[in-house]
Amino acid sequence: MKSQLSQILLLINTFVLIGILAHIYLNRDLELDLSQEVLKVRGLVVTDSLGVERVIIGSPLPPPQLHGYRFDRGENADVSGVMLYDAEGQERSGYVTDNDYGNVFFTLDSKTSQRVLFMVEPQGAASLKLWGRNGNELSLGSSDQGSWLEGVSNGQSFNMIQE
Amino acid sequence: MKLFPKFIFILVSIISFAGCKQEVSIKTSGLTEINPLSYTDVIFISSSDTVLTSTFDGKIRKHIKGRDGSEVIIDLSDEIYSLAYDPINRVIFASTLSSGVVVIDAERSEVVRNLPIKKWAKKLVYNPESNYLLASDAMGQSHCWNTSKGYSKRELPDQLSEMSAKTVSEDLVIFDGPSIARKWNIRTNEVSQPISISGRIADADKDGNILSIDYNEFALYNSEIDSVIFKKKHPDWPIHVASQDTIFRAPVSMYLSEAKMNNEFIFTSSVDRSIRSWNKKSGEWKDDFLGHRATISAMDISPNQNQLVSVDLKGGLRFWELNL
Repeated sequence: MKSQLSQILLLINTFVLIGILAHIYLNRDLELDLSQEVLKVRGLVVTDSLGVERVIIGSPLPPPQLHGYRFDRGENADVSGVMLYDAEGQERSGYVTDNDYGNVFFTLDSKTSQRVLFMVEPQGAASLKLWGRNGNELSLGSSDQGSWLEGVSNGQSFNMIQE
Repeated sequence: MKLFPKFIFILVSIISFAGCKQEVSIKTSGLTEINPLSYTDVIFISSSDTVLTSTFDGKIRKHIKGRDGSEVIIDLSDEIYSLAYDPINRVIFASTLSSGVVVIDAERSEVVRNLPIKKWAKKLVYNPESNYLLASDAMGQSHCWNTSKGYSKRELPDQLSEMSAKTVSEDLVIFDGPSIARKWNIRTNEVSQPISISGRIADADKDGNILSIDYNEFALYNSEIDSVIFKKKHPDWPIHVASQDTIFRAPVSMYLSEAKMNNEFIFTSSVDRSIRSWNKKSGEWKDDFLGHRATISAMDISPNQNQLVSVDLKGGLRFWELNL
């Protein structure tokens, strides 16, 4: 009787084991389909085929780096948003909000410095600044107090909107 | 024999309870903004032909001219910005993002010490004759350690506060500050009068000449008489057209990334991916060194003065013979 019970149990267990093994085998290539899901993450990094990070979405974003050296953004200067990097890993553009004051920025950079800054401040002032080299710059903006379009070209300052 | 069915039963039960739940893990990583290909520094560790390189992803490698591949000395898993080497004790110094200045035994490939600093240092300056190692951190604070006396710290003269150690020539360490440079004599502790400099200091020689870079222009200063000997720019941007394997020269002077000098020549590298050599006495352009396919991030001249090594941001490393 006891022997018969053991044999039945053994048979059942064998079937269960075969079932589990079959389940594992059939699910060995697991494909996660997240197309209908909402992902909540702190950051996302897109790399190119060589492993160079080309797009980063993050909060906060890492400190910028230039030609193999990292720079400190300074106290309370963290930003969050999207950054674009060129094939050498140099920061070239950002679409970010800062983590303190409340500005929103869109920037375009050369390989060495920022050249375009499009910014809206929390109280509503909007401005666009463009920089060349040797002090050349152009500034366009509008706020509750008025509008401005001014700049410097080859050392000569100009203001296109007269009060 | 009777125990066998029980054993099978227990085993199957354990598998059933523990093994049925499928654990799925997703590989994650931090936001690093790292280009793992990029070399951040290169230094000679012999009279010529053998160099150490550092990378943004924390590896220090040894390269020997003429040999394919490289030997990984150590992986610090931290960003490395600058290297220095003590050839007598065979010790490597590496400035890192999070671990301060790391001291590595090159023979055993082991970290033997960490020299803490508040924030990372861009440049290490080492003087093997006096055994002083200097680093200036991102907060503008300079540190000086005596490597032969248990890495004891040495206080720097007040005139050097908020200045950065940039290069060393014999007993003189050149410090860089806002539009000025000062020379500090390690042995006598004397600090020179400020020297007017535009841009950042890249190199100095034993005659007291200082080489500086100001965006796309470099200048050679005679610090003894505080005057500029000459200023120059790269005359063009040699663009490699891969489809035709030719060079198109655009008339643009681009940002200079590094400059070095030996007894006769000055070598300047740029975002334009070229190195140019210039006569040190006249400032006359001498030659173009083309071949890099990315921004050149660091250069070094061999102790025997006959070889230049350069590295770039896409993993390129080149040795150049200086029999000009």
